[in-house]
Amino acid sequence: MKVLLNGREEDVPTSVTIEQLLNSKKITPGAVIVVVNSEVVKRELWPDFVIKEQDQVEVIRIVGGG
Amino acid sequence: MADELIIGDKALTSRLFIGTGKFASHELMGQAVSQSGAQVVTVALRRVDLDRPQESELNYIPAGCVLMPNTSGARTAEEAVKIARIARAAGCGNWVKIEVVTDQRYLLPDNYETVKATEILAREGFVVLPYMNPDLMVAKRLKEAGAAAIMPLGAPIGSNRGLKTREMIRILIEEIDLPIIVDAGIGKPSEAMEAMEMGAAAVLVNTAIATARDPVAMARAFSMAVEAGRMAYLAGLAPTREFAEASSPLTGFLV
Repeated sequence: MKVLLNGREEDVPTSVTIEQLLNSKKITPGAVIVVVNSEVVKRELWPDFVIKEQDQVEVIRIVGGG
Repeated sequence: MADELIIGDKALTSRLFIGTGKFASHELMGQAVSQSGAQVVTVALRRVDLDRPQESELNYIPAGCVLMPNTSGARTAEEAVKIARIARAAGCGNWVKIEVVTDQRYLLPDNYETVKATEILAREGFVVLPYMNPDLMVAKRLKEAGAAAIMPLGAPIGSNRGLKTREMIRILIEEIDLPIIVDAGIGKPSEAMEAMEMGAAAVLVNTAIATARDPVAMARAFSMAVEAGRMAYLAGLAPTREFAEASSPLTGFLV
């Protein structure tokens, strides 16, 4: 199914969870923030939070800034 | 009595805030912040580069620092509010530096959108520190909107050109009953010291430290300058005169 991941359309497996998605992208979960359809999803929900077709998923991190 | 700067629920003893961008490495950033004694650091939120995930700067920021996420990238009040809410929900605390910029040449802030964002976020319980173009009427609006401090620019972001807006900042310090924190443009410790001598509550420095040849030593230099400037302000600067006034007695000359 297609989702919008960080503004880019991507094909992901149906019923993929946030945790699985991050693992597939080799992203260390400790350092990122996940926003699905404009709502921040708490870390403890990532193993069970299923992403749906056309969801807008943002994976964000804290960077240096002024 | 300790000379503390109270903002929100924090009592700060360091009046140097540091921006964490542009450092050559995360390690250097961490050392510079730690050597300067800064207690407030700004950070930004960005999308992860999914093709090249990187380690987080957060691991290098000394423990105990207040994190102040900025809303850089926001072009409207609405976008700034969205970024601030994400930062808070992600556990960055409730401080936020509002930065709304549409001008890409000078990166000057949009004061109008900044007031709107301040109003919304202050109502939601954020400790709001708006970055603004120094204008007395806007500063008054920001205070009414619930800002915890006002952060006027000295010169365009990253320009290292110093206190070009000196007179306007002086008026804000005189007229606005909130901490005035000079943000952006400060390029040298002497300029940070001058801002502090004028009565600024603090200064926020990033580029001048991060891009110095030795950022750690420069962070220390800024820290000392800010402390000296604050001490001078509290001591009360002596008056200036147009003509000379002898410092030695004018009686009992030997010749």
